Amino acid sequence: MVFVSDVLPYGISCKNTKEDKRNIEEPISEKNLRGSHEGFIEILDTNLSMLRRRIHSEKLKFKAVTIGATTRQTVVIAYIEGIANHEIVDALFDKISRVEIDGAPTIGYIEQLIISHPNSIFPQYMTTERPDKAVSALLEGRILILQEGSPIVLIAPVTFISFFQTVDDYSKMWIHGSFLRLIRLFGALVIAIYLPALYIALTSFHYYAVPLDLLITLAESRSKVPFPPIIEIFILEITVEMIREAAIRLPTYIGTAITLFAGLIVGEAAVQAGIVSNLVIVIVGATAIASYVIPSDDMSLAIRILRFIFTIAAAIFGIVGIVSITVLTIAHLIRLDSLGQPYFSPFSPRVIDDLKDTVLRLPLKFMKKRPKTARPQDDIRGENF
Amino acid sequence: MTENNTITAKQMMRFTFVCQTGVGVINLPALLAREAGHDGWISVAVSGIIAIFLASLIVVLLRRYSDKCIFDITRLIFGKIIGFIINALLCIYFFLVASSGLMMFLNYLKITLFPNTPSIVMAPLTMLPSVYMVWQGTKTVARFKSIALFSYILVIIYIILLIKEMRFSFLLPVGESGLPALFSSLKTGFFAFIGLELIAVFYPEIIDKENALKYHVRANVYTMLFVMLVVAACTALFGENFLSVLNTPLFNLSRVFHAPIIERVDVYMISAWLLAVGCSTRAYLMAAYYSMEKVFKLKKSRIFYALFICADIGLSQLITDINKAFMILGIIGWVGIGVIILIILCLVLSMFKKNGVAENG
Repeated sequence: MVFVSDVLPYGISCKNTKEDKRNIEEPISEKNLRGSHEGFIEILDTNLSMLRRRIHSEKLKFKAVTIGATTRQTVVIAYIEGIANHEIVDALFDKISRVEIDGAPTIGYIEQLIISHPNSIFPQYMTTERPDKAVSALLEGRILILQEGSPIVLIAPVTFISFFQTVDDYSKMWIHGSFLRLIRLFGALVIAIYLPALYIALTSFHYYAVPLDLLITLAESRSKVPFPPIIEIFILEITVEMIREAAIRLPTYIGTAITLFAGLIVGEAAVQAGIVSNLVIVIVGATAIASYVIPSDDMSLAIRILRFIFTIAAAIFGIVGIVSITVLTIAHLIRLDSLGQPYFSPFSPRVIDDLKDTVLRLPLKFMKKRPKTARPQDDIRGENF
Repeated sequence: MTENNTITAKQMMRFTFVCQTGVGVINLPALLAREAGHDGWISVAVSGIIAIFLASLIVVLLRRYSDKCIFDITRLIFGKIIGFIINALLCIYFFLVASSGLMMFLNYLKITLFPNTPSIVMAPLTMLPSVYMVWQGTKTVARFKSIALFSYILVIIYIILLIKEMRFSFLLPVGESGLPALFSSLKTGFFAFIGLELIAVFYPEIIDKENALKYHVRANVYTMLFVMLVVAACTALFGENFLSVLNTPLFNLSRVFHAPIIERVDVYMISAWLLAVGCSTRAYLMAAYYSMEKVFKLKKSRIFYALFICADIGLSQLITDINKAFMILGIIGWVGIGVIILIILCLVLSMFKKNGVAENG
């Protein structure tokens, strides 16, 4: 269709073809309680219009790039002019333009080709299927990458703490949001990473650090198990990982049955057979639940890999192994960057202003300034914010 | 100046502070108790004032030469050959401090957590973070120091928890040890401030040089306050007589508090402090590697780096007895004082030999 007007020196053309497309639904992997229930779909134009519907400003810009020597797919960079840092926008545009590939079936292909540290276990770009989350990112000066045929949108630059933030943190009262954030961080960083490693360190090396009452129970529980703690933990951890993987691939009704069967029967039977102790069931169960509280699947996977590394280090060197790997992990986080911006900010390099939205989510009146992560051109969110 | 090595003056402050306090503070209260009785904290305060003065002089010298480090300055003042010899000696000094730091680290592990594990087995794991960070450059090493501050907060909170157990009469009467004893203990007190010379190595990498003096003075003030706190707390808790026979008073301090549920607080406290010990050792390892690259004009090479790390681990294995290790640390402390004097000497000579001095220097 072409639109021509007497008063315009140009014509406007647009496609008017009917495409088969999936309905707009709530993303399965990113549910929320108080936000919108819309999710991106595979059609790029629909996704762009969803963003346009939310940001009524001519400053919302889209830059398109065609990638894929064979597939010729459109990739769009979205940002808000005047807020997003144009140097970062240009750098990202250059990076995507330089991608040489025959085709990108999913947006993950592009992500892997443009990240600065492809050998790191930590995700450096955030993925989302939620338009409201994408809009929040745009308002913070971040940049979106959308791809034809993908309901997933990439957000960059991001920090480590971004992967523990959800839309619900901001749509609830700040105390509620902060409480949830604390639970998430405690679950992910303390329980999911350290609990199995601490169990191994304490039972194998530093048993004198276990309170006496617990030590007796622990000894009784371990007395029937022929394996060292590391084998015990590994048997259960690998089983849990397999159950998790199976549950994703199987249809929902079978997946639920498998999970229940594995959780209740295998666990109980393993204890009775003397393969693992009761306490290990509790520990592995707690770590599995803690892994689920991480909103980002990519970060959850990184934490699960880290858990295995910490477990091995604890089995070899006890608490010193844990400390050593902790230092190494933090050093790696400090070294990482997302689109050239420090990944472990605002902790290191320390940005005091940005600490307001990290471990706690302070009231909105403290959020007048945009986070410095994306080096926004306009620091202040709005006069009446 | 390279992208991976640039730091801010504030980061340099943390770098210096952690470097000065990480290893030395573990046994310093005992050394001071032997020399100055219960007045060790006064010795630290006086040494601290001297250290602040010397630290300021070093930054003044560096300012005179604008964008140059000590290796460039020695070449300008002493000429190429003598300058090179001095620089090579400085490199050896930094390398020896790094190795002795690792040696102390491994000895502490041996006497606290792993009495039966050979230190050669422990060395690679404890070195792993340093190997990674030093390879990445000064920026990563310096940024990590802000994470290490967590250990300091923990120690301060722990000392506050111990206040009820302390007998402040152990610190009285103030100045009882007398001027001669206090004077002779100044050198020991000054060992806590060894590390203030590192700014002379990394000065060209500091982005905001106008803040260098302010933050370098702050680093030494913080070191003075922290060491004074630890020395006073140890003296008030153990008394000078018992303190003087302890090997690692800071770790002994962690065994005093009985927390509910947590059976052995010391295991966690010692583990947390190992973070600071590692950082302190790493600072010198970084200085040694950076210096060698600069002085011997080496390009970044994995083979050289591997040899460098192996040599560091190898040297750290030479002494496995904690008492001998303390003796080595004492010698290193003296050499450190010598290095600081050398840098000050450069400042004096720069007044006469103005080759390379900046116009506004």
